[in-house]
Amino acid sequence: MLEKDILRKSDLISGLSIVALGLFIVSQAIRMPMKDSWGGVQNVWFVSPALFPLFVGAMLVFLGAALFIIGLRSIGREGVEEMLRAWLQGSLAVFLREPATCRFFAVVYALLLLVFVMVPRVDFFAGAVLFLLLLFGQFYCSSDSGFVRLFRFSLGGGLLLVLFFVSGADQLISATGDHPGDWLTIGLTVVLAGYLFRSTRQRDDLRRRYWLTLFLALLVPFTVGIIFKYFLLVPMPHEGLVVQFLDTLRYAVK
Amino acid sequence: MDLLERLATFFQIIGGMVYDPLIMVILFSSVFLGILFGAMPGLTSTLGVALLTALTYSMDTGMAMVCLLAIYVGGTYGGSYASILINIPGTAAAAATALDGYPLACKGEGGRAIGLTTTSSAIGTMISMLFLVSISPIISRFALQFTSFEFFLLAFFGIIISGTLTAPDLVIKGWIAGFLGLFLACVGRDLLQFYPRFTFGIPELDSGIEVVPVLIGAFGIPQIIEVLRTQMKMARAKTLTKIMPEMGTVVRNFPTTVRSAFIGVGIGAVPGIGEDIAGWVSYGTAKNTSKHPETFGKGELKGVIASETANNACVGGAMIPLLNLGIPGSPPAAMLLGALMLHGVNPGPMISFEHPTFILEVSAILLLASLAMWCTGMVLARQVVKILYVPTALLMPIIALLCIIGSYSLGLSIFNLYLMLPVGIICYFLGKMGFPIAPLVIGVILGPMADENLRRALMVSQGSFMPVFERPVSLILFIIILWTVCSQFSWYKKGLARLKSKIFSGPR
Repeated sequence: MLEKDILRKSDLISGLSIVALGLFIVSQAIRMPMKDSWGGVQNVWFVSPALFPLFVGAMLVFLGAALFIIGLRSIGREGVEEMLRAWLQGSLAVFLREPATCRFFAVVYALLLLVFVMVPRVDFFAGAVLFLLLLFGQFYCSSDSGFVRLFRFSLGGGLLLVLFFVSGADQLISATGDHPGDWLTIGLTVVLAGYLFRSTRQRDDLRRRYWLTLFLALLVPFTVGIIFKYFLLVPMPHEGLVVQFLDTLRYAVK
Repeated sequence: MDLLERLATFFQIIGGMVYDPLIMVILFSSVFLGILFGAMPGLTSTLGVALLTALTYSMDTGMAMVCLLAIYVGGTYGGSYASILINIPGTAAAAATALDGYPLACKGEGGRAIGLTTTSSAIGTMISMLFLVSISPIISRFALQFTSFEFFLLAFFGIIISGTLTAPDLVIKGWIAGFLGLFLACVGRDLLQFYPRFTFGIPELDSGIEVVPVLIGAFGIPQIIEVLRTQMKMARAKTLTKIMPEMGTVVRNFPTTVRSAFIGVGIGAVPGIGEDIAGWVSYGTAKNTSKHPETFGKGELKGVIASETANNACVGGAMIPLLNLGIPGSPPAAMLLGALMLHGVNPGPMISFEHPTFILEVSAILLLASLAMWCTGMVLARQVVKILYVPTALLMPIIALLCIIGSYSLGLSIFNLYLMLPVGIICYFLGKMGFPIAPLVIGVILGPMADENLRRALMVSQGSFMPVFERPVSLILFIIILWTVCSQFSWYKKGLARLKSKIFSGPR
């Protein structure tokens, strides 16, 4: 949680956001059938599907406004002016460049990349290995400067993946070869592993961490994935190159 | 069922479980896993239950409950390891334990403290189990008299009280969190007329928001982001000496244990209030009633016993409203409710009719889990401590991956992930801005109950709110809600103080 005085300032923003959300809920709810018929049923106000959302929306508007007022009373007009002045003078930019903020962006970015880009389009195992290697690399086997470089690498790699899928290149290439997205992900993983190897070779402690990172990044997705896929019989979100290989291996062993 | 019949069934269930080696293996391994989850700062029993829910999806209900309750019990107790040995609470529930646990470890009595917390946690769970088994039939029978108005007010009370008591900053933020949860519960086709609300033409939203992925997102993602962002580092753990507690110490502190268990059960039974509050209240009570309050904070055994007994007693307490009213007593209980719904069990007053032995089964599992926790704690404490040496930077990405595959596997829907992650990120910001997450989760769970019962009640009364004032239970609930809300305002407090001074000063 933030400090008290920062909290009161943030209450202004959160209060207004809550009011906006409440108004949005109310605006949507008043479009729902209140007295007219829906599906052959003549409505009355107390059975209307709008009743509960209206109540919730109105309460959010009221409580959000109360929170805004509390915040405003605590910091006063001077506080608001000071806050706006600090923003205009670039304190927001300074905050965004702080190491902790960068780490926040790195985690959220990796999660977004996995969930919205890789899970629906790339073989789960391949995507999970890249995801883990990226986070382990950034948070476990890098120095502060190494973290920033890796974050840039992840931004570039992620952008490449997004462009690859959005531009339709995967569809184009898949006409000539199978699973192009998986190959690209595996390629990015190899490049990342190589980059991490190069950046950790100077320091013994980081070198030890590198091997552990590589081992875990491979072991965990395969252990978890195999349990879900072959023991709990949960099909993976996207089954591609690696699942195909594992299936072949499984039937060969059987 | 009469008392003797219930007792016979209870022991029959225990016998059946004990003689099933698979159940025993699952019980002990889940308790151990729970202890590991609790012991590791950054991981919580709620997250443990959330992740295991996905794994238990294909099990039968009984087996799944063994797994989930064992991890809940183990996780609540496991928090004490990090509190005592490195002065960082493994879970919020064990925060009060650190005050006296760490000084004890510094004196070289870490093993003794862990032995006592293990024993008192086991006793706390067992006492709460006794409450669950004895009070449930009474509450269940009473709740059968409830009509839609009572259920609406009960759901609303759950959200308001949870918002009031869990808000770390302003109470109003707790209420806002509750209403945000209620809004999320509105998404999807409404239950009475099947009208699509806030679905924006997305077919996956028609059936409403999936509760378990939302819970995984709300509890898991903020934790992962925060631990990695702050680069949480562990201190060197103190070494453990003799763990088995002396019988004399346990007996001497028995009154504290029983009182703390009662506090834990009471707080656990209040909707949405977690083990952390139980731990603090119990610790405060032990300090206030002690003849030597000055020893607290300097390695007082009573302090450790009080908080650890209460947080584990909360487990059984939280089961009372969960099973009898369908209202979760704590965040992990909310996860359990989600898991029960996945298995087709709908907790509420009808549970005694639909599943006559279910509450007894849960009680039997709690008893066995507390015994398994004691054995595991005594035998494997030295091994559990090793988890404290695992860097969080390695654990958290793995947990993130488990959250993702777990959310997906519940319903095999990628859309669950599209829901889980944004909810998790929003909950992270809400947490940072002082909004509690528990009321939001309770709101998501109780929303459909509140919505449906409000409209059904008004349908019966033809739009009149008068039955709220005509029915005694409704009226009591309404007054409690009103009092809970009003008591937070300064004008109420000032008015009350003025009234008190007028009454006690007498006529002049």
